[in-house]
Amino acid sequence: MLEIRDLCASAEGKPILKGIDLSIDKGEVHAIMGPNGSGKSTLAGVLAGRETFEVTGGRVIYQGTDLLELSPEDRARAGLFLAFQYPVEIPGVSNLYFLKAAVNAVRKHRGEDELDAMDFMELVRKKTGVVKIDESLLHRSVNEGFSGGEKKRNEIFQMALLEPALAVLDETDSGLDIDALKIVADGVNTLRSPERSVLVVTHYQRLLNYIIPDFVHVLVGGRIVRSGGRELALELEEKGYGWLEAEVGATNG
Amino acid sequence: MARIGTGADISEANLARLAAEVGKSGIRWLDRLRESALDRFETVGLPSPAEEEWRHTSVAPIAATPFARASASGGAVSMAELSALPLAELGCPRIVLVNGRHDPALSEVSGLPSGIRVESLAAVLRSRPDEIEPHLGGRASIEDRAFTALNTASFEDGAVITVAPDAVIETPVHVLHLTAVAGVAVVSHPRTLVVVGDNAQASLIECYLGHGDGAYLHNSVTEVTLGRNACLDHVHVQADGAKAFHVGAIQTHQARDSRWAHHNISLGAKLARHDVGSLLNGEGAEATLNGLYVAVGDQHVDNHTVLVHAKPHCPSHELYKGILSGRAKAVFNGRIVVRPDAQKTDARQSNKNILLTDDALVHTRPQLEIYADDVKCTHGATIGRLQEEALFYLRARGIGLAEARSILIHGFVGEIFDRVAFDPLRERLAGEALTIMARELGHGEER
Repeated sequence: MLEIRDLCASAEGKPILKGIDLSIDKGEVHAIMGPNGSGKSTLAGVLAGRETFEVTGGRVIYQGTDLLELSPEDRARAGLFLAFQYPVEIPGVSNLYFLKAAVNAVRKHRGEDELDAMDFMELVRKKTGVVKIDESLLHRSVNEGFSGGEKKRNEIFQMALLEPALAVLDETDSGLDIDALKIVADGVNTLRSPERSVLVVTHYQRLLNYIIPDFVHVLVGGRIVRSGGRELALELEEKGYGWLEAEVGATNG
Repeated sequence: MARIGTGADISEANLARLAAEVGKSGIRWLDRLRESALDRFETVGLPSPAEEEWRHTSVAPIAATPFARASASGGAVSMAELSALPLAELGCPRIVLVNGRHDPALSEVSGLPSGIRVESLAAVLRSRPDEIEPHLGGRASIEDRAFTALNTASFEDGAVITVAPDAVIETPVHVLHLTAVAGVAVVSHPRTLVVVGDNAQASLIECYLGHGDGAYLHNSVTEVTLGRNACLDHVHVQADGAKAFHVGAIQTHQARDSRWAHHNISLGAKLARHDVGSLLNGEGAEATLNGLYVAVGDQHVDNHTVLVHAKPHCPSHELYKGILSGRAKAVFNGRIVVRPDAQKTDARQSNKNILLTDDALVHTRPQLEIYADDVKCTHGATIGRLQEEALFYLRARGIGLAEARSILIHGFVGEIFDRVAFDPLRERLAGEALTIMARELGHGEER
């Protein structure tokens, strides 16, 4: 599904990712954990095509094609989905209008007929259950005046509508209370399938109690310094990131 | 004024000569008014950039054009040609003025309910001139603006809309001003009078369009009188040709508890200037000024608004939005005067602009003059670009760059169009605005 090889990226001339290697197979759920400033969100942004980051080296092969060559919209059309850490408010554009434009852009790319208003509403009703999104939010401007939890639910709702092959969740759990967290996690779990891969980027182990990962990677200083199974997340929960940072510091020094 | 030999001087003399050609009406008050108007225009001349009110808008291109009087309308535009214009057919009663004169063949006002009269100004001046004496020139003063003086001296016809007290007219009335261009640059001075009686309610759509590609000047004046507790929803659309000039004044007097909602949609001209004003002259009168200007290429659009709060407890709400591209230039000057008597005034003003290119420019200025001490007045202005983060968000959902831009522009202008109550007009306006921007963005991407 996704092959990341020696990926390096910088922001405003400052190197942030310093050689990431990561392979994700179909149906797998990977978690990337790490302290603040380790490059977690940069990795998510680079995968989605955020232009504020400059890729300075390495390759990313997604379903056999060079992901880094694609525009953000082409990545999305090819089935890559980024759930934003900070979903953007767009005044004056109704959520429903936005969602329909997105669904139809992806359908058009796949050579499918665009959905008309009626068919689209039917799809929406089918998917609203996944994240228990309040229907009134659909008629409001995109994310405008939404609570933190509503914004994150809206992200997962978009994921449910777009049915991506690879979903990247960028700190989707940050700032959520436990009820909102459960709803978001339930949404993701409903969408788990042998055909769909998920990359969960998180600062806290807590989310991984609800979305059980197959693999956990720890990102420190722009490199993956340790990979393991679910138990690695628990170890981090217990010990914090300090011991790994110290270890990396020792090797570098 | 001693500006002998300049281009402006020649043009002023030319415009004054054209005004003199209109001749006497035989109505004493009118002829006297026209005479003073012409005197006034000859004294002050065309505005110069030295005048504060015209600091950012030069009328030099108008001064440099040797205008001819727009010819009489009969048959200048056919029904088929009219119907082909984007904002001509709205499915409501319509009075059409071509080159500043009523064209009965293109007008259709037979479906009007009782309680409202829609007539040509020339016809009313022939039959019942005394009825309009208090309204003509009473709202838009020749002392205030040179172009208003010129219009007053020069108008040959116009529209008069009269709503009887207590009448509630649901159907909007469409007043369509059209200039037909044929070879030479022409000038027309349409005059519109709107009088809404006590407790009456009506809805008006005023459109200024051009037919043909050449240069012309629409110098329009609209005067609105609202009686006690009267209510007028007033959409004003200016969509002139690419080489056209438009200078327009819309001046309103509001009696106690009246409500005036004005939607000023400016969709293009080489140079457009609008002076929109209302005198809130009775307790509880309320004014809502919505505005949207779209300017592309090297177009220039200038909106000057003046709200005079003369009596207590009057709210006013003003929101003007602009989208500019190319090397377009916009001016927004929002003046709010709160007179000493106008305690408990609640005036809110906002001007928001999006610049799509580096070369587009906006001058925005609130101008508050507050002489009462217990009032609320807020104002704010923003100038920005399409939000990069929002563009990325849309693209990250599979929406292409061009469509993403269009969605964001739609969202920005939608706030104004949503306030236009008449569905067919709202849809067409939104369509027009987006077409202009799509064309412009298309150009941008080719470069």
